Amino acid sequence: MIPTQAAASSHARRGLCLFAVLTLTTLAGACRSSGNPSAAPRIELNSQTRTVDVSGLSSSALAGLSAASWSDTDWQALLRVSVKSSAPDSASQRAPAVAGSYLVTGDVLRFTPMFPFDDGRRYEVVLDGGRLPGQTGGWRGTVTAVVGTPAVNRLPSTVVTHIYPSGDVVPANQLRMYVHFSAPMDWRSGHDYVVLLDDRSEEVADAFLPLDADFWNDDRTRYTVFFDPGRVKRGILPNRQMGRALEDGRRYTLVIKREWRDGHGLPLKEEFRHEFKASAAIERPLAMNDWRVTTPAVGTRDPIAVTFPEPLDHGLLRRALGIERGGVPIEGDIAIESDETRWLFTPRTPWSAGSYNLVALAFLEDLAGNRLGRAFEVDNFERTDATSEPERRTRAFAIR
Amino acid sequence: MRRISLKTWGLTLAAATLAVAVTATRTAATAEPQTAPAATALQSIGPLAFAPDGVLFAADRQAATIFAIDIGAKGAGGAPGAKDVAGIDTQIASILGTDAKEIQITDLAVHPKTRNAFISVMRGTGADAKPVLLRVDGAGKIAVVALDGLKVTKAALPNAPAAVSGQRNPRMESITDMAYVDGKLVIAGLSNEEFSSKLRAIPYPFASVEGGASVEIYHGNHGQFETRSPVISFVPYQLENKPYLIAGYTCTPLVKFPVDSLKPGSKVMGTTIAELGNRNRPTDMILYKKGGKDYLLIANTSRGVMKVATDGFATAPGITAKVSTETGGVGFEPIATLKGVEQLDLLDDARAIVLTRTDGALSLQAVALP
Repeated sequence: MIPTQAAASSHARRGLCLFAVLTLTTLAGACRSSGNPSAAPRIELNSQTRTVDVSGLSSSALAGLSAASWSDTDWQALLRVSVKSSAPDSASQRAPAVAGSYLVTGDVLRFTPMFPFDDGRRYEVVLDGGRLPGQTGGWRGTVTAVVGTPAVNRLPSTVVTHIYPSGDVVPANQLRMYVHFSAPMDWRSGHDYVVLLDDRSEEVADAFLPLDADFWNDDRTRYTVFFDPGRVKRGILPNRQMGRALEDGRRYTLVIKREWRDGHGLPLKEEFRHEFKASAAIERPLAMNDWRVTTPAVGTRDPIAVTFPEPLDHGLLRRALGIERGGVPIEGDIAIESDETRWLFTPRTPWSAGSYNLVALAFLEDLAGNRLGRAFEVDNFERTDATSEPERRTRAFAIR
Repeated sequence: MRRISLKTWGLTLAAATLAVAVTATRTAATAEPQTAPAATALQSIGPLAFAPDGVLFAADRQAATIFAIDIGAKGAGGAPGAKDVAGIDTQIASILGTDAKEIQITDLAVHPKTRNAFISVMRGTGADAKPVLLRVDGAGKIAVVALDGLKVTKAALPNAPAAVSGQRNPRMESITDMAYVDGKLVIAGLSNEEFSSKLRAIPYPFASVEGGASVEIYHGNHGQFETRSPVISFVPYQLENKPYLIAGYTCTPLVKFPVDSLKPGSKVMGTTIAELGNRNRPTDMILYKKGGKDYLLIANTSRGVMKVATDGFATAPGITAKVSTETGGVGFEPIATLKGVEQLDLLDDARAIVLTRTDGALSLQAVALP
């Protein structure tokens, strides 16, 4: 049991109230008058069960509570737990009661919050003895206590581990960047924490798509930052008014602010900066024939290597390329190297002689969103409609 | 912020069967009827949508799964309707035992029968963040809706396709919006890798999830087809006795899709019927009837709330040339009295309910339909 700071109302106070601060976070001793049927009950935060426990109630009161069929409102009128406000006391009393369940267990009335109490937060507990059943002649006063557990003292440790694209040159129509972290992050949107600076260290305004959508991967260690496509695409109003966020030939710095919170609610250990230069926009579709395929020797587990003339999207490279034989996918492991210009596939079992296919799914994109046979910039309806995007494309190769 | 539940009040809704393109590499997921505690099954809670019978669809973005929750009697609080609540973020945080900074309200939807307001919330921001559903009744009472023991079915969205086995990421999409249409739930999803959005129609009761239809629209301001622009919000609507979806996109074209055109294996061609201004994103839309006419009310990120008469939707020729001004197509009327609207839904035939932020404080308010 964690003792609590408790104050019995004057008309109900019996015996001695002891206040002894035990921790840095207000936790202290409680009023207690055990053995005296008219003494004030004791309110404590049970550190094992993370519940508010009220002890010292009379057996008749406990029996009455056990038999009670009360609404939440009734229970909250008897034992009200609320977030302790830093404002005057009345603010805590006006705040809605914390949701939870009430139970008589042994000689204790127990409140279990619907969600565990936050470490480092203070909660006010008010017991109104006037609402206790079966208290004829017994204690009818009010006890107020403030309970809580200490804040967990953690130091910021999460860092940005990588930015993709890795290279220091990206096309002016770059469409997205991936920010990788060393640990899971806060699940909320990161668009407030990513800033693009130009070569004069001035912020490039409105560079990114300001969607408050959830662009995290499944464990929140990778966040996708989309450049605003309205500025990326040629000829459209934002593009005409503001131009692309990136200009050919200029240098930029992507700043990941330290204030971005990780999964423990802590800021990053340090700000992260990634410098790069913008080159001419790439507005042509991908072509598999432009790729160089280096085949391994039969009987080995050496990787097959596919080299691209320009970097491709890191996230999509991990799932949009594969190897098949006779229509059956080969199991293996992928590695991406050389600033996303080289894709390596190592099979689980040694290569056998024969014909294989390099398979590319249609959604594979380069840094500017260009796909196989289809550029991101599409000029008119006819062309769009006439372009029947295949689900996948293949390129045959042999291992001998 | 971006959701649309079914808005049935006073309107005729799309009634035809939806068909969607099935991507060959996607696998169908099967429904899992269950009566296990829903609260423990949901990893997160985002967009909400009600079916007319009161079944609540809740999108779990973290698990890329839609839960259909038969909330039954829990759909009703003590009083019908929904009363204004000032500082509702602080009120909800207190009920959840925390601070307003530690919660995020992810959606607002009105129960089709009780007209109580339901609010989805994430409590906490880190790995231990928990989903919560709350109800605000006509007396302004806020209550947590415990999902334990309720009948729940779910449908998982397909894994992202991959060319190599073992490389599939189970969660590549953010669910941006949902709407129930005549026995099917239409879901808009936004990839966190390739720049694309998908529309899916899942028959309800859930049996399977199909691959999405690729959606193409002509974006007047862009001067070309916006092939992969994300769908932010949409509503089902009936035009000349044919079912359509009216959708809002990132750069705020308003687009109509004939639902019948959503065929397996085909691309869906939408028609841009209005340009509502660049650098402006729709966050929510509702349809309503007033004075015998239908209107669309759109909450936006940078241009406040807009009212659009729908009588021109059916005959709008579509924007097929560059729009030289910031706006174009079907006209709209800015609603100056509605500021800071973050969530929007139809409360009854005369009022909308909104979550508005003023000086950092979030309030639930019923407002007269303009």
